Amino acid sequence: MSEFNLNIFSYSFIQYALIAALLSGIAAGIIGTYVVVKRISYISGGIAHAVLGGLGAAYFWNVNPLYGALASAIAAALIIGLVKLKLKQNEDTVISALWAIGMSVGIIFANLTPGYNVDLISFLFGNILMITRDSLWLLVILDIVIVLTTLIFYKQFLYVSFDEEYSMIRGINVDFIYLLLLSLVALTVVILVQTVGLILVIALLTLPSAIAHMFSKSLFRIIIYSILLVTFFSVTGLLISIYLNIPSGASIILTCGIGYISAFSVTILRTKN
Amino acid sequence: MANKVIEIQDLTFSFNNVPVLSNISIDVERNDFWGIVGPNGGGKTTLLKLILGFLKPGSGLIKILETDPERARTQIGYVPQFGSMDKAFPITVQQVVEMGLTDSKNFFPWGQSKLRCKVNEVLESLKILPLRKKYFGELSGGQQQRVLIARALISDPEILLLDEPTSSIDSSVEGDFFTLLKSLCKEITILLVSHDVAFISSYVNKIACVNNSLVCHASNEITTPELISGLYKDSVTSIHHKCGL
Repeated sequence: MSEFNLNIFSYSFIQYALIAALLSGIAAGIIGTYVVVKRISYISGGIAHAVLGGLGAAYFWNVNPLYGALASAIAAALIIGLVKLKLKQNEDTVISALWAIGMSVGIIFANLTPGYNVDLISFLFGNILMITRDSLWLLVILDIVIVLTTLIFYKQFLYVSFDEEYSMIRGINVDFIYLLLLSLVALTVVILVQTVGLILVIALLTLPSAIAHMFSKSLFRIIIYSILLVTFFSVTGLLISIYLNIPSGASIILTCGIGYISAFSVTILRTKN
Repeated sequence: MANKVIEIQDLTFSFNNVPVLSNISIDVERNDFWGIVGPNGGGKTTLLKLILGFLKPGSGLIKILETDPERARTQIGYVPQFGSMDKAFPITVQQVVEMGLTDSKNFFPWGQSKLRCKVNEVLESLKILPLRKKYFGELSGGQQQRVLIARALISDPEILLLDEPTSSIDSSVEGDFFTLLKSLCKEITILLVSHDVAFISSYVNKIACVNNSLVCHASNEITTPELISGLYKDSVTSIHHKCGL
C-alpha cells in the first residue's frame, strides 16, 4: 500500500490527471449548481450526448476532436435554448431528438473513419489518465472563461434562475442570460467529456451540487462545496481505479453516486428524527 | 402628470386561436385601487401579463404611463401568484428584495451599501426586518408574500399589480394585509386580482369583472348578498351592470 502511494504521484500522467480533476471540479461545481437549482439537467444531458456528433465529425476530417466537441456542444446549447425561447415548442422532445441525432451522427462518422477509434471510446466513457498537456491548457482556458463569466453575471444568473418574469420587469435580458448559461453548460460538458466521458457527464454535473444543496441554502456556498466535492470524487475515484485496475470514468461516477446515496440517506434520517 | 395610468382600448387576445379576452376597454386613473375578479380561466392573469408586456395583444391598444408596456414595466411593481416560486431555491430575503432594484447593468456578486439601506427601509415598513438574513424557502406563506411585496415596492413603482395575493395567507393576517394596501394606495395605483369578491369589495374602490369580456363597477355597487352569490355561481357577466358597459 505504501509503495503504491509513494510511486504513483511521480508519473506525469497521474499528475496531469490530478490537475484535470481539479479543473473539472471548478467547472462542474459552478455550473452544476445552476443546472440543479434551475432544473435543467435534462438539457445538459442533451448537450452532452449531442457532442458525440462533433467528435465523430472531427475524427473523420482529422481535426482536433476537442474543437469538434466544443463546436457541437455550443451548437446544441444554442439550438435547444432558441427552440425554447422562440418557438415555445415542447423542449423535451427537441432535447430528445438532438440527443439521439447527435449520437447517431457520431456513430456513423466513427464508422466511416478508417481504423479502430479507441479515442472515440475514451470520449464516451472518459479516460482521465490519457489527458495530454495541450488538453490541460484548453481546460485552463475554459475554466477561466467559466469563472469570469459567472462572476460578472452572478446576480443576473441568480435572478433569472429564481424568477424570470421579475427579471424581465427589471430590464434584464432574460433570453441572453439563459443562452449564456446554456453555453457555459456546453463548455463544462467539453471539460467533463475528457475526464468521465459524455455518457457519465450528467452525473458529475448534478450529483455533487445536489449533495451540496442538501446541506446549504446559500448559492455561493453550494458552489464552493460542489467544487470541493467534484474534485474529491474525481481524485478518490481515480485512485480507486488505479488501485483496482478498473476504468477511471466509471470509478469516479460510482464514487460520486455512493456519495450521493449516502448524503441522501443522511438527510432522510435527519428529517425522520 | 397625466391622470390616466393605464389605458386599454378594444383589446383582444387569443391563445392557440381560443379567445381569452375580447374587446376589453378600461381606464385606470392615478391612485385608483382596482379589484379584478372573475372565474378561474376567465383571463385575469392574462390581463396582468398583457399590462406587463409579457404577452402581445392580438388587436387593440394598451398604454401604460403613456407609453407601451415593455418600456413602462420598470415602473411597475408586480407580486406574482403564490406557488409560482421554487420553494427550495437558495436565495435570501435580502437578495429577493434587492432584485426589485436591479437592472441590466448589475454585474459581479458584491453588494452596494446604498442598496442595503433601502432594503432595510422597505423591510422595516412591512414589519419583516428580522427576516432579512433568512432564506426565502424557510418562511411561512404570509411572510413570503410580504417579502414579494417588499420586492415590488422597493423601486417606488407608479403601479402595483398583485395576482391572488391572499391565497397563501390565513384570514387573520388577511385584514392586516388589505389595510396595508389601503394605506399604500394613497401614493400608488393598485390592481389586485382575486377570486374573493366579497372580501375585497370593502377595500377596493373599483371592480372589474373579467370573464373573457370585462365589465366595470364602482365597489359600492357590489354590496347585496345576491349579487355576490351571483358572482360565484355563474359567470360574472350575469350580474346587473349599472354603468352601461
